[in-house]
Amino acid sequence: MVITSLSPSGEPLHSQIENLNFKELPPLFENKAIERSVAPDFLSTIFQYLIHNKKRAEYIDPKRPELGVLVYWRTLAEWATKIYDYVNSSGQLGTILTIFELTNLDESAYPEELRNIEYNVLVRAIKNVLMKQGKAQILMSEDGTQIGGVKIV
Amino acid sequence: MGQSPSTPKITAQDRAIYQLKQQRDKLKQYQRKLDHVIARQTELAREALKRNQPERAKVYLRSKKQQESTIAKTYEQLGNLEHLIGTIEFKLIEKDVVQGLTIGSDVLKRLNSEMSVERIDKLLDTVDEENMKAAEILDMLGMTGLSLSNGEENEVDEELRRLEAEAGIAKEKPQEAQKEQEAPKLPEVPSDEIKEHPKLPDAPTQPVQETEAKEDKEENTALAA
Repeated sequence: MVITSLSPSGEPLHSQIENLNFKELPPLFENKAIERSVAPDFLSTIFQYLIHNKKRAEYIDPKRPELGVLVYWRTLAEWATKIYDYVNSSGQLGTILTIFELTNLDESAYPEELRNIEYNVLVRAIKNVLMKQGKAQILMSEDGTQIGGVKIV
Repeated sequence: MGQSPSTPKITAQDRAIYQLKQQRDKLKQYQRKLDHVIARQTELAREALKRNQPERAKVYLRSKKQQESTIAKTYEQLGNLEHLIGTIEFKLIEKDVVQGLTIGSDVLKRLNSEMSVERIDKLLDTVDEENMKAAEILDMLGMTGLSLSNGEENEVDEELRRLEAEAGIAKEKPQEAQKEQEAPKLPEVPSDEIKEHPKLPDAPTQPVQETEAKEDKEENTALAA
């Protein structure tokens, strides 16, 4: 199961699997059969460990932890490589691609592992990896709050 | 985020394509929404029929039909947009091609101008002149030709012959070589026509039995041997 972000209380917020009903999932940090659950303190310790020691998680917005935590079961560098490979192999280097196109379009050529990728993960892979390598440039959306498109070369 | 100088630039065309693609994305999203609505309305109509409300069901179906025609229209618009995007992208490539051609022709022109006929003529002339000058200088220094004199040349020939004799090839070799050069006599092409076709066996009409095939093979190998 591919969960890419969690709420601070440990509930899944986003998954790459489409139409996945989170309510039907067994709770992640609770085991009803033995009547045990992870205490909030321990949960936050787990998150802190993932974020600061393992670098496998990140707050969506460090100033607003209630927005949730991104879980990097694949590192940003790995995501960036996958995105770059897809764009390269589909001959779309140098073309403008919208974020919608990269996350949501039902294109048959689109690799399964990139489908429905969490917006924040995609943006961070582009910003923190591809742009630093000089391989990408971003375009803001009309209202200027979100990244709407990207050009990967 | 430091703008490193190597980040790719966004051109005006890129922006135009970006906007078009955004419109396309919006249309796609709209289509998805309509698909959802249609599915819901079909369901509602079915439920209404179950509850024996044919009028209500009809309303749902009518509205569903409307959504469907809207979807058809959006597809048309989508086609237009994608066509436009494709045209722009293709034009950009064409532009690159033209640019490449211009650069190429410029280089070719420059190279050609460097190799004009007159210049090469002049160059060859000067080379000739210089050669002549060199020969003159050698003349003046009394070294007419660095080549060997006739006597020396003869000595060289003699030594060559001696070496050949030592090696046991002597003078026969050139004669042999001559013989070999003469074409060996080939038989003449028959001039009379072949009147009767030699009788050939008929092709087998029946599938070959395995045992027969084996025998044939054996025969063949025998023949080959």
